Amino acid sequence: MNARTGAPDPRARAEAFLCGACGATRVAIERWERLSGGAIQENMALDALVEGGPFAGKQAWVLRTNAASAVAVSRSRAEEFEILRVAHGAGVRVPEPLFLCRDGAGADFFVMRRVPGVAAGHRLSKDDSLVPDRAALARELGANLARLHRVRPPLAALAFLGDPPADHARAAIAAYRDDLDRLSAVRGEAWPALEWGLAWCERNAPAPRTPRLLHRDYRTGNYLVDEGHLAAVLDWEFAGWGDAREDLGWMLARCWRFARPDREAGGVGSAQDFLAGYLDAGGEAVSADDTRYWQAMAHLRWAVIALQQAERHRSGSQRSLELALTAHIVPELEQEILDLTAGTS
Amino acid sequence: MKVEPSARDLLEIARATLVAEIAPALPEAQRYGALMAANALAIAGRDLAAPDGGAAETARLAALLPGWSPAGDGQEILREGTARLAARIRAGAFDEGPDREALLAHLRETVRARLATSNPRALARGEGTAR
Repeated sequence: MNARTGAPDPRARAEAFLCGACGATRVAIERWERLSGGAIQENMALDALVEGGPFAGKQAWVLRTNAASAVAVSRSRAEEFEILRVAHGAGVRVPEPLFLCRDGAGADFFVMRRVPGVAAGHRLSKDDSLVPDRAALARELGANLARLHRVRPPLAALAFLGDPPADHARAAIAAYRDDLDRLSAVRGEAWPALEWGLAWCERNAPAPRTPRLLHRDYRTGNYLVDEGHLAAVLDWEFAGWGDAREDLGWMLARCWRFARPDREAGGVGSAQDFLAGYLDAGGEAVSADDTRYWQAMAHLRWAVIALQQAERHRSGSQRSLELALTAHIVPELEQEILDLTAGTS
Repeated sequence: MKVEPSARDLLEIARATLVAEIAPALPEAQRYGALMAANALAIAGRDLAAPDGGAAETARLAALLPGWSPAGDGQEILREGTARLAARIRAGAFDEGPDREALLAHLRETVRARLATSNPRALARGEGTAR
């Protein structure tokens, strides 16, 4: 117990909770170490010694909770835990979600199995020793996504996701325009190249498809590769219902290729292998026009998010060098949008 | 007289020192921050060195916006023209025909200028590269 605030020590709180959750007689956390975290979530690596019950023995876990500085949280930890459970149940490679703590004695957290591997995009795109068989990894990424996209609404466990959009593309375009209007009002700027891209996407919007469960940030940097193979997909806080082609376009977008822009599938493999893996695992076929369309949408979405992140810095709500630099990614995204859209009406 | 070396020179030597001497000596977790700081200094230096293209951009905007007569070519006028253009694009005014080509030429020019400051390496890639 922290004498000054009365809040329980987080480590002791986790031990007590895990002891009950595992049906153990005793849980001792031997390693408690902060992993690289985001502005919203904090991940702790846990090595625990469990005595008694089905989890008896040494356990390697990750505890995920809100960061102390958490701003507007996209999904609660409880919701993210449910999403992970659904994805795991669908055969998607994720860290297995184990226990959710909502004891009210502090921020909610959940515990999942710790998966070994490398996530860093610049390493996975550059270093062939990490990915000796790039075709195999690209196919695994595609197949894994197809398994996720088998999940369709409605699903009681994911009721908090709300209703799927009737027309994902048009709903997204309207949302990005609202976002730009809000940014414009506070920054006094406007973004004609992004407006061009949105107008093009509106004119070329494809017929809607049956909604699926999307990850919505399925890209290099958000999955672990261990011994050359896909080990687990991370960061599910943006998941939602929508058009499966959005996830494909996000993975294939040039802005997520790190050191290897020539490798279309996230800088780690070819689009051909990625899409073949997707199709073979039951994913719905996409045309070249679909791919181009959702690549353009990916750059538009990232441009809007980048401007929002930069605004957090500019407004003073969260001063950060990384957020400040994000604004300077936007011109490259604009160039890519022009390249993708200029050739066709 | 101002003291030399100037802001541009100081930014450049600070950036070079960060990259060549400081970053390599740091543990990996801090090296990333140092390289981000070096990138910020590089962008600031290019921003200071960038030619003032405001008048030319305002003239291009006026050509695309019939009925808009900019009173001068300051930053405020440029903002106003850019906002008007954005609204016209959203309204579908440039969806087809010669106006569309004129708009795309303007957007290319504007994005090139923005990239010259933010990320000149992306400029070198050129247009219409294979993907």
